Amino acid sequence: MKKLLMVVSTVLLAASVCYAQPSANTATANLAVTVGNEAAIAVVSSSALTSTGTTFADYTSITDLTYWVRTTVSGTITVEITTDFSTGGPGGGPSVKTPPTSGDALTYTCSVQAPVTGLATACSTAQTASTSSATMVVNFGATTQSLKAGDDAKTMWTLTNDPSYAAGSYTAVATYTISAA
Amino acid sequence: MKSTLRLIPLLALALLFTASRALAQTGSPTGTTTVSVTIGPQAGLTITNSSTPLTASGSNFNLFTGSTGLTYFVRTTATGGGGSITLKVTSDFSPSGGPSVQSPLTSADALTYTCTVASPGTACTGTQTASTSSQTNLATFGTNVHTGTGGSTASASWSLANDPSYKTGTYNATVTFTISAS
Repeated sequence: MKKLLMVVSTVLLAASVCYAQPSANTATANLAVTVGNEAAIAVVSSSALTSTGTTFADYTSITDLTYWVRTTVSGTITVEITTDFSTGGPGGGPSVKTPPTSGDALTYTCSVQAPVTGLATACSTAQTASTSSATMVVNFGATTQSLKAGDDAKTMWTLTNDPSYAAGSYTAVATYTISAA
Repeated sequence: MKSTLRLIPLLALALLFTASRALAQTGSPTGTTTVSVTIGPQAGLTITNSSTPLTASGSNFNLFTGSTGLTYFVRTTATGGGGSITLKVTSDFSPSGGPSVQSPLTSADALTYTCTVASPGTACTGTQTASTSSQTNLATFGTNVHTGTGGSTASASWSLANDPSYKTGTYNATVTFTISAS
């Protein structure tokens, strides 16, 4: 009898130990997010270069951009002519790399909407576009953050209306690059 | 003769005592007792990854995402029982300047999650918005359900907008999961 009682109690104890796995009815988890420098840009619209009047007024157009930026130290928006005007050059149309006349140039000025925090500075004077290097559009300062919906920037293009250009349609590609550090 | 007659009642009494004592010792060859246990509703859970990083891929302000996994154990009452797993952000993101559950910069900056729950639980439907002020649902349990000995799995898959307006830095929040059964 004593042995039977001992066996029963041992079995009951073992059973209780085997199934004592679940812990409490609450538990916590820590969510951690590291927010780093980041930047993005989109071309909203870009109109064709047009000249008003008939007296070889310069061709002008505007490229509208939206930028998103978060910096720690600094950042920039630059632009480079990655594809020159097709069939441009002497006897043809305009060219950024080899303009028909030395005074011919594709230039631009800049404007930028102020970000939520920090500083965004547009290029202060007319810039000459280049096919060999990126040229400045906007400088961002330290701890600069845009709106979640993005902020606006623009480049206002000017192209000399050289009579030596052969009549026709010419296209070039301008590539904008944004960075944040 | 008289002394013998006097002894007879005494002897009779002695015989009676002896007989009663003799019969009180033997009892029965077997004995039974009732062993009973009441199995009631119960619930418990453990977090698989108590540290959940939220990360964004690429460099175009893609969403921060991450997943918190857990193992749950549950037993609900056979009639009229039920239960749930809920969660609550018990400590908002800190330091300030980054994301916030209680006061997001915009409504699109809310911390949200979707639910995955293995049987016998039922996952929440659709995207849920986490809260610092109330419990929000992860799973529900019906009547007369129970997990196996090893429990069942569940997870909350998090999404957080990568708002450019957040200052750079590392931000931490605490989420508390609670399971109940009736």
